[in-house]
Amino acid sequence: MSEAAIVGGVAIERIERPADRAELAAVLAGTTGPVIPVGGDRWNGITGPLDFTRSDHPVGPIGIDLSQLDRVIDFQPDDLTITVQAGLRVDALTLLLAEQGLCVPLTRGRPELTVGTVVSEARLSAHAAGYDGPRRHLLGLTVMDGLGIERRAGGRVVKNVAGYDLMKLHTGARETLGLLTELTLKLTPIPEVRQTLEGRLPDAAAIDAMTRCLVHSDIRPSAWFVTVCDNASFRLELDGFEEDVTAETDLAIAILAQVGGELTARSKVGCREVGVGLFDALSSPDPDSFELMVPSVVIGPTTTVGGPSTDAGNPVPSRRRFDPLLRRGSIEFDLDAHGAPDWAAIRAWRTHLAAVGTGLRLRSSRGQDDGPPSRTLDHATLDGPASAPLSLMNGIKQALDPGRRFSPGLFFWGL
Amino acid sequence: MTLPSPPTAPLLAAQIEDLRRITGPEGVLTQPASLTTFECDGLTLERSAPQVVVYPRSTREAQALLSLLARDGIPFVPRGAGTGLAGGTIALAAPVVVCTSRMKKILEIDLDNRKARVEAGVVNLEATRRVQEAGFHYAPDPSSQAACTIGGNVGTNSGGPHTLKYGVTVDHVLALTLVTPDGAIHELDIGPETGRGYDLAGLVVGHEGTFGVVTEVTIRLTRRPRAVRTLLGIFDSVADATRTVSAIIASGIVPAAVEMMDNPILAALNAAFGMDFPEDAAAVLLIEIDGLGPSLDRQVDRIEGLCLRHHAREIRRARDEAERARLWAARKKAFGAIGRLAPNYMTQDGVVPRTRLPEILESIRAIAQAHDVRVVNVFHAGDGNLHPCMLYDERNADEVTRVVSASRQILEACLELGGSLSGEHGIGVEKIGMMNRLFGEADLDAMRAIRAVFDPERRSNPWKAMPERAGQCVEVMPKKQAPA
Repeated sequence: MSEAAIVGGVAIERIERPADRAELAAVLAGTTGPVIPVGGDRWNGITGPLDFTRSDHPVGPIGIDLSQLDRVIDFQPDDLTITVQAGLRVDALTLLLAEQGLCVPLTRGRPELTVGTVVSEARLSAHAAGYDGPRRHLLGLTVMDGLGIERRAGGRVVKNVAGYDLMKLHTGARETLGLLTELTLKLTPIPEVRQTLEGRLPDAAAIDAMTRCLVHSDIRPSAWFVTVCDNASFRLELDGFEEDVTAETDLAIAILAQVGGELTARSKVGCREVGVGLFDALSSPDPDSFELMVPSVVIGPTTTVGGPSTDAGNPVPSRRRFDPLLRRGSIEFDLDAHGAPDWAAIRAWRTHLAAVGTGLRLRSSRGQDDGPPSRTLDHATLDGPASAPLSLMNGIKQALDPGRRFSPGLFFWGL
Repeated sequence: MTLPSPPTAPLLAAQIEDLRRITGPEGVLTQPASLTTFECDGLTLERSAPQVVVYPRSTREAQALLSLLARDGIPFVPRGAGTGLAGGTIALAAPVVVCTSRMKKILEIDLDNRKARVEAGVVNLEATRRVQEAGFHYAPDPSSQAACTIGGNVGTNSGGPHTLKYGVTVDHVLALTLVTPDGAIHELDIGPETGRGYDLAGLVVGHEGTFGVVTEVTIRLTRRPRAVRTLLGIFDSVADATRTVSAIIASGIVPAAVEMMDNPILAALNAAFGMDFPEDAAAVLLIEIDGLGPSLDRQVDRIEGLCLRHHAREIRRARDEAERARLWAARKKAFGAIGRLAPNYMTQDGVVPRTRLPEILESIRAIAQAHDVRVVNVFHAGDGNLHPCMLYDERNADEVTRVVSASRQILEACLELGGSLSGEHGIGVEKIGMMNRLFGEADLDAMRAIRAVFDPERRSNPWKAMPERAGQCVEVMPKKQAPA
């Protein structure tokens, strides 16, 4: 089945939904144009318009939706491994594993989010502080190149150093090096309980003090994030065996008192009761949320940019959320009267961020920044690779995708 | 089939003098007596000494050295402490060894962000020593951790007993500095998680020296567990011991380590370290759990129950830190105790799915019997990562032949059970001839293409880790001890 579509502001000639790997191979081998993976809750539009200027393809791009490649290939609960096709939905995987008391700590997004998307975009869950991201859980993979040839790396065992670690290379590569078709994941037992603590912190100094205390304590948060709006609120989550979580909770409450914070809510649940939401998304899929890269757990200076003390006239984000242990955050701005972001204001705010060493990735489902020049600034200057790694990255792109067919320009400017 | 070592042109005196100008006279070794140390690593079956060893003291010196070698098209071998076990640092088709063991500075410790930047020659255990008082450690703990370097760990993606819970080297590397064979310096990090493109640091970990020389590494520091419990499960049956491993993991407990040692090594450990392992036991499991503390006794009770259900005849708990340290010293120095059993040994590093351990251990027994080779098993049972040590006397050519043949058959058996060639030692020169048993040519082509991005002339550690060209399925050996 195929139909035309608009993805990332670009007209896609048709979208193919292959029923199996053989059909996928035939589709890829049967066209010479650019290939854009679509569906599976991908952020196709979020990094801005796709760039086809670096590829001289005479034919228009096609979209590939792998949602029909959703089989479980091999599930070995006692070995804590599972091999799945990339189109399998995360929610379906989570339910399957939960029946065996297992999980794979992959983020949950919209219901259509697939395992392939999570790996392709290296999406972190809000609990990556405790469980790490998909790179830690990927044991092996199969990737299909532009000729429809599958290539394998890694394996189905939990420890393996034979061959180069292409799992790391493809995780987060946004399928610019080939389409992910099969993935082998390392599983983990579902923890017994989750304790959630919520409360308020008086100021930026208290945010930093609390984070430092957590880093230097025996507490191992599964999640720790701070939301700055009119004031700073926090959420701390602790997973594990009942007795350990109780002890960690006591420690955390003591630290909170020490930094002048206030506990407003606490709850403890069995993790199996949490269900598919066990590893929720890092931030809500809000269309006007932008991603921040914070260089240090010391986020105080960043939290104050655009805050009440900022000079009049500067844009003030409506909400900022930080995950200090992951050195990440997100910001949201109010839309203008026409429902569009105020790009001039956002760029001005970015300048303030850069002054405190914080990077900003313009990742928004609006997907329409004001064009390539500012994207160049975002990815190559503030956050992007220096020139030497960029040359290596271009070399790898050329080596694995010599026709430069996969998502040209989607990854970052300059590739 | 075995090929002789590929020929290499020796360096001229003027070229050696150029190297000395970069490192100073003390940074270049050329005396044959000094070079003997470098003729092999932990895989003593294969040997080939380099013509020159150079010791850069900084990234800049490494850059200058590699630029010089690039100018003259000279192949080289990156090396750390030489504790590898797969022949990855043998000077095969390369006259120069670039040894980073004198780059020992810890450049920065940032406890707030749980990371440290170290030079490649920093010894693994030293990284932990520098931060342990603050309550942190560097988690990867290969048995050679008192000698091996962080740069060497990056080369082979080293593991160790506690990787079962804490992960291998790549899980603890945040960024690194790589000098590619053309002399360019690249600052690489873990890419997508930092918003900086591809995860090139992750790709470089485990490159076995084929991408260039890693000179600096930003490592992740991990909080030391507040409490630890260590148990020794004693079994009359190897199969029962291995089934216990799977039962523990399946119960929802993630131990920090589950190590297995079988009967032949127990007496040697008793003699070498004054241990009191029961010498009539078929196998022992060294099991460790760690964490905050309150739940550990409940976990220990559960593990003991599982051991007993699988017919453990006795379970001992380490009573204190000293007893725990003694148990671990015995485990980590077990390879040293093998010297009491034979003049030489060769250890393998195959991996199988954990639940296939009973089958692979039976296969190893049968293969050893068929080859009339004595085998000792000391391995990471929790990861399914085997270390069968085959005992031999290098003066007995027939025995060497049988050991090499048995070794290959064991790896074949691992592959047949859905496993892999190496869990932590790397491919090196030892297993390169089997890479096409694990991967198809299309897979290897992709890996070769990536290698060519870093090292198009294949001058950095040639003939290691990855077959040089499609269809290469023969082993290239230095020949010193290789059987005819």
